[in-house]
Amino acid sequence: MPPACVASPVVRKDAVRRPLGAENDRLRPAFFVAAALLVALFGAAPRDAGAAGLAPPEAAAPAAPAAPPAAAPTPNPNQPPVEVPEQQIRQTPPPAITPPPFRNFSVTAHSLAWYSNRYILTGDGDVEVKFSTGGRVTGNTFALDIRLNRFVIAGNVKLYADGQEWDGAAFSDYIDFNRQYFVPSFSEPDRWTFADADYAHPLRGRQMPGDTFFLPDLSHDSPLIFSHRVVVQPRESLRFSYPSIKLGLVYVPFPSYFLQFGPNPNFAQNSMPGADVDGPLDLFGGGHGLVSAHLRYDATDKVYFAGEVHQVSDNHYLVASISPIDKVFKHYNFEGFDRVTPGFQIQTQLQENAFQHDFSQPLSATAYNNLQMTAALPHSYVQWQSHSYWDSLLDQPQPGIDGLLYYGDPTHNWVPDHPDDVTVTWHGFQNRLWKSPFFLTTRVSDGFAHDSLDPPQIFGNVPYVTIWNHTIGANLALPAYKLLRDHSGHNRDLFLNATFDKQREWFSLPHHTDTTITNVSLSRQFYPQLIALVNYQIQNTADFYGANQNIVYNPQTVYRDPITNAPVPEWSAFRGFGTQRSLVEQLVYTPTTYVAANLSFRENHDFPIPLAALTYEDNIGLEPYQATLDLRFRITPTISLDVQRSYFFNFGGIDRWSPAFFITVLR
Amino acid sequence: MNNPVRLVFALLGAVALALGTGALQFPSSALQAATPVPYRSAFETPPPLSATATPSPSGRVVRYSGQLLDFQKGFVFFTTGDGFRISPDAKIDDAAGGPTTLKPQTRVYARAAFDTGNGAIVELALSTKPLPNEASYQEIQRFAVTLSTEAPNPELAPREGFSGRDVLVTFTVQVPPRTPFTDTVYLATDISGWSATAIRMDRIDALHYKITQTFKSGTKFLYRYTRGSWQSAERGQNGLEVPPRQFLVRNSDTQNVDNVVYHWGDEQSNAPDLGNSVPTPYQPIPFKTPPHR
Repeated sequence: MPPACVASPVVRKDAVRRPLGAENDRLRPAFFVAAALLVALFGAAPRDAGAAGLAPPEAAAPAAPAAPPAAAPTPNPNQPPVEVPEQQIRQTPPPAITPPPFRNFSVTAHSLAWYSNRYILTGDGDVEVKFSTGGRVTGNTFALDIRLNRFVIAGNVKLYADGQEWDGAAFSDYIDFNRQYFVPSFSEPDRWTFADADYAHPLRGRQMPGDTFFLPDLSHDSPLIFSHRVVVQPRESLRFSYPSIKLGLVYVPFPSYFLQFGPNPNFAQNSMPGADVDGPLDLFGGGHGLVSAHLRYDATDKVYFAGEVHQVSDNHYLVASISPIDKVFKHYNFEGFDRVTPGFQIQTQLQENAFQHDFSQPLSATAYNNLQMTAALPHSYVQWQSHSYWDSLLDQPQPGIDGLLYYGDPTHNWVPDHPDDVTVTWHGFQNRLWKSPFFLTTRVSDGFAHDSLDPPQIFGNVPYVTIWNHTIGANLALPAYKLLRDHSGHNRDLFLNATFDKQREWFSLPHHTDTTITNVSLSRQFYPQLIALVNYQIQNTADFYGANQNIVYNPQTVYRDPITNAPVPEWSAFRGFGTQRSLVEQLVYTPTTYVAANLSFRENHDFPIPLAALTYEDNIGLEPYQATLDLRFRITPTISLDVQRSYFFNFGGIDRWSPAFFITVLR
Repeated sequence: MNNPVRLVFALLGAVALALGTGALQFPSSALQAATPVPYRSAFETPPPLSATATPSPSGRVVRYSGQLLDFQKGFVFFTTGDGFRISPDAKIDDAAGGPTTLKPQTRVYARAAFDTGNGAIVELALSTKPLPNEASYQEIQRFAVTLSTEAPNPELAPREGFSGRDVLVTFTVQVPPRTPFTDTVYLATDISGWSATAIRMDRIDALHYKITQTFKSGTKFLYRYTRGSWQSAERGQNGLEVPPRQFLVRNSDTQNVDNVVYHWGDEQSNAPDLGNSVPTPYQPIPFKTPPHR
């Protein structure tokens, strides 16, 4: 019987797919200056803003007459997960996150300034607010807090509404609650409240919230944008007309700027491939749409432009992009999601990679699609997952040099392959085992992989172009078990976590694989700022060919070290049964909320042994020893800096002591 | 080379285990719990007071500082929304009692000297910066002039107030058991523009991540857990996308939030993610990851 053919994938330049939405990109030091500059240019926009420091102390006072909603009860992490009633899970309503519609309004002024770090829009000089429902207010000064969703106009105020005109000192609108507060000035001042913008019936003398007319102190802040006109859609967006946007040290005029700050996370969906630096500029938009231009940088394409369009609602999103626009090798990307019913959703990604000058006929074009469909079932769910690849979308060309098939020149070879794979999986819910602290989940799947290898895998003289697989797996978890109780009341208990995952997968090519992962960890919080963790993991993978084991994993084969070319006997001894043992020790120290230090050591003892390559990215297997220090600083309320350095202790080629020095900007 | 390194690792492991069993303790004084910094007034050094204001025979002078909303028709309006009558011969000066080029207008800070005899302002000191207070708002509120009688507002009924103080909020999340050990978990919030990498969390054991952040009380926000991209955002136990979680920061020193994530959006549907842990020529699951990816 001939040996099984283990084919190597054919990788071509044009066929390399770049991962979509790889937002966790890292910056090398050489690029950090560029990154910092771009962050300074664009990073202060609220969509990029961080979590802390939301409102000035005075402005965060009770802002509304309605009682705040009670926070939902949450489970204790050191206890098993709360079991949610099944009916409740299956019929989870679609995310209802869009607020009720508010009347939009426009603001014009001699100078409007947008303070992105404070979420505040101010206006000075001849301020006029026009409501879409009619009515307007003029005054000297304007301030809108988009987080508190209220604004105030002060100084020589005139209120034009309901066919009347009133002079006053200040006007304030609590948009969330549709309450308007006004200080009219007749022979003597007064205090009026309008309920639901009913200007014909002021509630005279009614008590007002204490901070109704407070003006924010912005003396220490610098505006990101200046403009003369802004259209405000409360809880959703600001649209600036002819703004000047701060790029570094100068304000650059733009025709438009659209700031989306709504609660709908679908606006954050990113269809573009990863980049080292990404500076978005939202040009146009509305309640359901957004058009953005991006200035990006990565090591391959350097600086380039990209464009992206969003069309979203609470239950769906469609995102399309081209990146880069101005380079020869372009990626056309599309992502779609639809919550069809409360118990069924569809999600897809599509990417076409084209080598084309401008937008002319491409010399090569490949495509990838991922389709995921999920349906809730009683106490479980079922999911369809497929990946499809088109190695060329172009017609077959006329044979060229030496009969090769290509467009332009032989580097753009034409390949008609169309690999795809499909898996349908049933997932069970997490079930507690009786009253024990253990939780069990099970899964079963069926699927196939078609045309995955070129040439196809041959076994027993039979080519296997399509290989079916059947899988069954189970996971047993002990989320947190209090091993040693701390009686001092400082929560310094010693916790044990453990998981055990076992899976068997059968293939139509006659073999099956077993995967077993056992993970045990001990953890303890010594102080709120210091946590220690020790984790030990054993991972066994076994590929069973039965009587054909030695044919597939031939002991006569000699494998050589890619750097030294020396034989590697551990590899020749490999018969399809691999073991990886990993010990991790970790200390997490967070002295303040602005600084975090994470020190970890990992030791691996694996079979077959790992093999070092020239660069650490190409190492086969995990490095035997690794120490990593990760320092994270919150440098502004909106931006964090993550600095990471690892050591491999004399393993590898060029990077045998330390791989690249990672600096990541998180925002 | 390996042996000394292993020795270092073993020593570190021993220290960690000693810490874990309580045999070794860090001095607690060096690790006191972080406490929120109290809100501090915007001004550090109060400017000197002018003592030129002269009260009427029946009254005395009470000085109140605040920011101006307006100055019109013989009334001074503060950002409290109150309008106060200003005496026709009131002196307008700077905070030191000298002449000023500032005008009493919107945004300007002012210290008003009230004559308690007639409730009128007899001196108005102007500044571009906040001025120190001598009297409480309650002391001068009675001098505010309104045409209408004050009416109660039932919508301002007692409820939980939010002072805007800094609150330490600790988020702890339990992740699915099959989450790769080396993965990082992030907190994405609407107030960070739904950036999928907005707040990086720290692993505290094999199944839990944690982060402590400072928020102002009264802050209400939506959030989701991700593993660095929206493709890897959390999913519900039924595999479907879940609505964003909501959180309201209350008035307290600290708050704890404990959540459970059951699935990730990019979870492999069957086999655990083995990464590059198995040498590629012997990949035991050759069809798990299509080679063209």
